[in-house]
Parts: sequence; structure tokens; C-alpha cells
Amino acid sequence: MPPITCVRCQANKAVVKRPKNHHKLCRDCFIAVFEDEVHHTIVSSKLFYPGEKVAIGASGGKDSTVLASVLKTLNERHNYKLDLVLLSIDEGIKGYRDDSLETVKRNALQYDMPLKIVGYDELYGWTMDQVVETIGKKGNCTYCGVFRRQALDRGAKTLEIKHVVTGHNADDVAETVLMNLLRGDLPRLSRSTSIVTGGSLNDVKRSKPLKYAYEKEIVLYAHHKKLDYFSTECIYSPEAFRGTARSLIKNLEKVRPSAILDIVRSGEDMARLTPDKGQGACACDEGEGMGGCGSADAKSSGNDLAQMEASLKKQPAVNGLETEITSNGAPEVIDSDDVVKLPVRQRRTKESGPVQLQTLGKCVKCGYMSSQAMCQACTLLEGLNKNRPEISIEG
Amino acid sequence: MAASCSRCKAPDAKFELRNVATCERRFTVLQRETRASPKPEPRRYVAGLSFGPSSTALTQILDKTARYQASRKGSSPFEPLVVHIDTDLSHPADALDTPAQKLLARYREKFPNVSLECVHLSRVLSVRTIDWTTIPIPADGSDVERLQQFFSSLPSVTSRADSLRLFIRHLLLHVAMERSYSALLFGHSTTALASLTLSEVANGRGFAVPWQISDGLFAVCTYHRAADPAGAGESSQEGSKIQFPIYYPLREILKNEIVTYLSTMPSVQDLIPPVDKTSSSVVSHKDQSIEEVMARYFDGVEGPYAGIVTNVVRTAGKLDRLETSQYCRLCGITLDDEGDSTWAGELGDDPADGSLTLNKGKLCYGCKRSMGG
Repeated sequence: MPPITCVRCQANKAVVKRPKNHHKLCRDCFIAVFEDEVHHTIVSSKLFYPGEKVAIGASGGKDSTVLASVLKTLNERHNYKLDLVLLSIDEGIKGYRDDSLETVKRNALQYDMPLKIVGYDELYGWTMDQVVETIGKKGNCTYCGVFRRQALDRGAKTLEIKHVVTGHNADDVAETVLMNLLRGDLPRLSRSTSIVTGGSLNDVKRSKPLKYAYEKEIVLYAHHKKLDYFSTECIYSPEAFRGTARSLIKNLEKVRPSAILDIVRSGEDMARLTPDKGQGACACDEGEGMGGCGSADAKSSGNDLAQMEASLKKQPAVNGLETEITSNGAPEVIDSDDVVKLPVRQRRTKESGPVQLQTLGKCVKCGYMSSQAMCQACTLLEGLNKNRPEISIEG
Repeated sequence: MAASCSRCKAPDAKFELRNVATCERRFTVLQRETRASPKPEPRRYVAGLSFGPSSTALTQILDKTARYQASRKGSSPFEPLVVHIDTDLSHPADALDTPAQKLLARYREKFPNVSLECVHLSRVLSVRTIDWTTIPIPADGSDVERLQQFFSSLPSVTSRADSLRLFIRHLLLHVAMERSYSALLFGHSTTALASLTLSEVANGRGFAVPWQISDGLFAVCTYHRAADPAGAGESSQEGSKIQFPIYYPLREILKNEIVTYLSTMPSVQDLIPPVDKTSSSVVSHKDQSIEEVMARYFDGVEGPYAGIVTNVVRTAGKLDRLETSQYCRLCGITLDDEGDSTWAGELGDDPADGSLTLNKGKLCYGCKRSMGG
């Protein structure tokens, strides 16, 4: 069988079958196409301005390594005039994060970018190893996720940077869309697909230039560019990728590769149909993009459906899917057993009562943005600190 | 062990309804939780029948209601028409004695109080609510051949399943409107609506979800073919727009509750083909559609996590139904210009694929995807 030639350059041997559309491309064309698509995303969304200082949330994993590599390439090729910095979070997990941070340190040299590492221990007084020692392995992802959200912002602030880019890819965004539908979380559905989050509400804005890039293509890009990345899963959540929404997405991708992007598109469109019309974009449900643990917004591994169901049952008994209004306005009492009476129901102008909008304020303790009086991180810290009163933590 | 029924306190509750033990007799309470549409008089409804459990249950309920209404003096007429769309393209449209018609005859025996009718899918080609110039339907041959060629020209199983679903919906709507019925009823259970919601999301039709799954008036646009024969390739003229009510009376009932409900009526249950046990094992992904993947997913979710299934439908119901002046000429749902203008994920779409650009401004994102990939 003769080798298949690249559909783009018609010259070289095709070595890549694009997961996104099954086009067969040679190595150089694949890399060029991938970079062009990220460039298109950046330009069409006007992500950066010339001279902007941008921190790349770097975990050493494939997504953030590819992001750093592509941004460096594009910054030089298209003269973005960006000042790029690598920003890493040290959760304090021995045997995992210390190794991945070594990768980031090598990346910093390879890409000639400054690197800043902020640790959970210096920010919160707790490493994840200590958290797990205290609360056990179950539910520790919640702590890690909540802490990471703030840590990125605080790290950026110490560098006087107002823009952090994360390695969220199309699969991540599609997963979040499905998760929020399953969870019934309209506020999150409204903001999860925005390419830029935070910003006006917070000093540090977040964006995801790889939002339209398939995870599989990111892996291929890293492979063909021979990028140096770290691929071990977090020792505390080894099954993080086996969440049900994730496996559903993988199944959909097998049936129709475009499904991932189609879900992202649906998510964007549905965001404009939510009560807050997609305007409430904040960064508070992100964190996995540079954590490498891959469990979207700190849900724990494996049994997320079970948790969701449990929390749904806890909710006060809500009306059914429909509200029933009888013709005379009084609730109809049906008491006979065998009579099948079909109640007369008038059309309603609105499906249900007003949906509560989330409002953002600031945490009374640390000043971080929060919809409650105290932010999640401070609440979790209080609980942790109660368990070790002998150690006092400042700040 | 044997719990007592939480509703009537009869001992020996056989079933568990929403995590609450329920006896057999009380399970028929389900019927009352179904709602018929508002009061249009006379009440003339068209209901779709796929021969599956949900639409069979809907037929049974309509039959029972019709009998009850007929027994009451002074009650306004209650005329249900249950329509099965025969999707079998292997026989001519006017063939008699097809499997579907045989099965429908058995339904007629069981449900004497409703009218039952079999309509062949090829009739969809005469439907005016689709602008046929926007989709690749061959011009020559019999209606059945044209449809066969159209389906085989589609790029994937998902595209075929999606188009078929839209055709059935259009055809039922057409039957209801043409004969001046007052509403169209679908037998979708909560589970089916949840599955439809996520299928539509995965098909890129997130914008259409609130229109697809909500009860109530639905704007229907009709198209006229260009009068000038020379302009055969030209797009059709947009015609009148009317509002027609569509309802999902079983929207609050889970699929397994319907199956249990039917199991209390052995005579009706005979009508339903036995559940294919192989459906739970994973088959080749190549031959599956997104619809099937979703249905399979929700089959697994429904048992232990019924709240999540309900949640999906409830959440989707809270989304706004935006209305614009333009409608997608295939799925019939309002077009979303803003979504097209903000979308930046189009790179990598096949530029050689004409359907993506050809029908700009006429088909929605999801329908373009269905026709093109």
C-alpha cells in the first residue's frame, strides 16, 4: 500500500489522522494547523493586548506544557509582544508535584521564561500531604481545587500580573457543560464556556486559549513537538479521569468526532439563555486546568453522580417539572381512585419562578471574591485549623 | 421486608415509586400525574406512536380517557388520533399488510376508543414546514427512493438518526395541522426528554433545547417552492408562520415507571416487543448514533440516580426560549445569529464541504452539522 500523502501540502507522507475531523496530515502540517487554530482563537477573541504581561498556569502536564510552547511560538511568529511568565502551584504532594515541578523548571529553561512557584504551605499553612493526613484521601480533591483557584490569583498578584492563561481544552469545557446540565447548575452553565473569566469582578482575569483544542490533538502536538511533559496522575485521585461525564464525552467522540466542539458550541449558546445571560463570568469554578488532577472543579473521582444524586435529594421537595394551575385558580383536589381525570391546565407565561442569581462579594477574611460572607478556602481552612489547635497560622 | 404502600397503606407494596414503596393498585395513580393539554374545545389531539413503552402507555391513557369522556354526558368531544409513522423504506409507500400495519391492527383491537393510523415516512416529502432546497434530496425517483438515497448520502449514523427524528416530528406536526387538530402530543418520558436534551447539546443544538423539550406553543414556518421552474436551485420563499401547541404529557414519568405501569396490564404489554437484552452490552461505536449513546447512558443513570434525570429536564426547562425572525429551514427552530457571530471554533471544519457555507443563514449549526458531518 502506498503511503498516504498529507491532504494539506500534498507532498509529505501523512503521519497524523486528526482526531477532530480525521484529516490525514504530515507532521509539519499538523503542527502548523494546530498553531493556526490557537492563533485564530486568540485573535478572534481578542485575548491579549501588545505588551501584556501574561502568566501561564503551568503544572508540567501536557495541556499547560503545550500551551506554553504554542504561546511562545505564536508570540514570536505573530509578534503579540507578550511578556510570558510561568506560574506554578506547589500543592505539596510528595512523589507527584515535586516531580512535575521539576518538569516545569526544565520548561522554564527550554522556553526561556521566568518561573514563579507558589506553595500551599506558604499561602495556607497546609500542604496537601498534611491535609490528607488529617482528613483522609476521601474528599481531599475539594480542598485542593478550592485552594488552587485562589493560589493562582495570589501568585499572579505577587508578580503584578492581571492575566492568567490556563490549559483548559475543548474536552474540559465540554465536560463542564454536561456536568452542569446533569447537576442543574445554571449559573455555572452560564459562565463555564466563556473564554475569558474573572476580569471586571476580580483583579486577575483568566482565559483558556486552548478552549477549542481537542485533548487528543494536544497529546499529538506534544508528541510530535517532542515536548517535555509530566504524565503521572495525582497520587490522591488516581481515577480522576474516569468521571462519568468524561467517559460519556469520550463515547460521543468515538461516535462523532465533532461532538466535543458541538457540545462547546451548545454550551456557548445555552449560556445566553440562562437567567444571567452569561454575564456573570467569574473564575471561581476553575482550577483543574493547571492542576493535572483533571477532576473538574474539585469534584471527587468516580462517584460524582452518586454525590450529585445525594445532594439533589437533600434539596427541599421541589415541584414537578410542571406547575399546575387550574382554571379557577384553586388547586384541584382529586380524590377518587378510578376516575382518570385530566386536569385543565392553563398556559403559563413563564416556566417557573425567578431563578436566583448569584451575587459576588468579597470574603470577610481574605478579601477574595466570594458569593458567601467567607470564601470557600477560608471556610475549609477554619475546619482544618480546628483540628490542629496547637499550631497557629498567621494570615 | 414487604413494605406497605405509602399511599394507601395496603400491605405488600410491590413497586418502588420515586424511592417510595407503592402497591400495584396505587401505581395507576401515575395516570393522574400525566397531564393533558389545556382546554381547547373540542379536544382533538394527535399523538405519536412509536410502538415503544412510553407511546404505548400514552395511547392506553388516551384510550381510557376517551372512554371516560364518552361516558359522560355533556362533556366536550375528546378525539384522539394516534399516528404511527412507518419508517420502513424497504417497501413502497402504499404497501398494505406491512409489519407496522399488522401491529397497528392489534393496537386497534386493544384500544377501541382512539383512532389509529399508519402514515408512511415518504409522505414527509410533501410537508411544507421543511425547506427542501436546503437539504440534499435527490429530485428523481419515487418518494421512497428519494428518501433512501438521501439517507444513504448522509455522512454518519448520527446524521441519519437526527434527520429521521426531525422528519417524524415534522410529519406528525403536518398531520395535526392539516386536519385541524388542536395539539400534538409526544410520549416522551422524563428519561427520554433528558436524553433528547443531551443529544441535542451533543449535536450542537443547545440553542434549540428549550424549544424542543418544553410544552406549549411552537412557531411553525412553512415554505413555498419557488414558482419559477428555472429557479429550481433557488431557495424557497418563506411563507406563513403559525403557532401550534406541542405537549409531552408523560414528561414527569421516568421510563422504568412506565415499564412497571405497563407490566400491570398484561394484555397491553403483549403489544410491546420484548426489550432487547443485548442493548446493554457495548457494540461497535461506528454503528451507533449520538442518540443511542445518550439513551444508553440514561438507562444506566435512571435506576440509581433518578433525581439527575429529572434535573436535566428541569434545568433545560429554565432556559429562555429566544425568538428571532428567522427559522432553521430543517429543524424549524429559531436561528441564532449571535451564536454564529461569536463562535470561533469553526477551524478544522472541512472547507470542501459545501453544505456548511451553502446554507449560511438558513440552517442552524446543528442541522448544518447533520447534513455535513
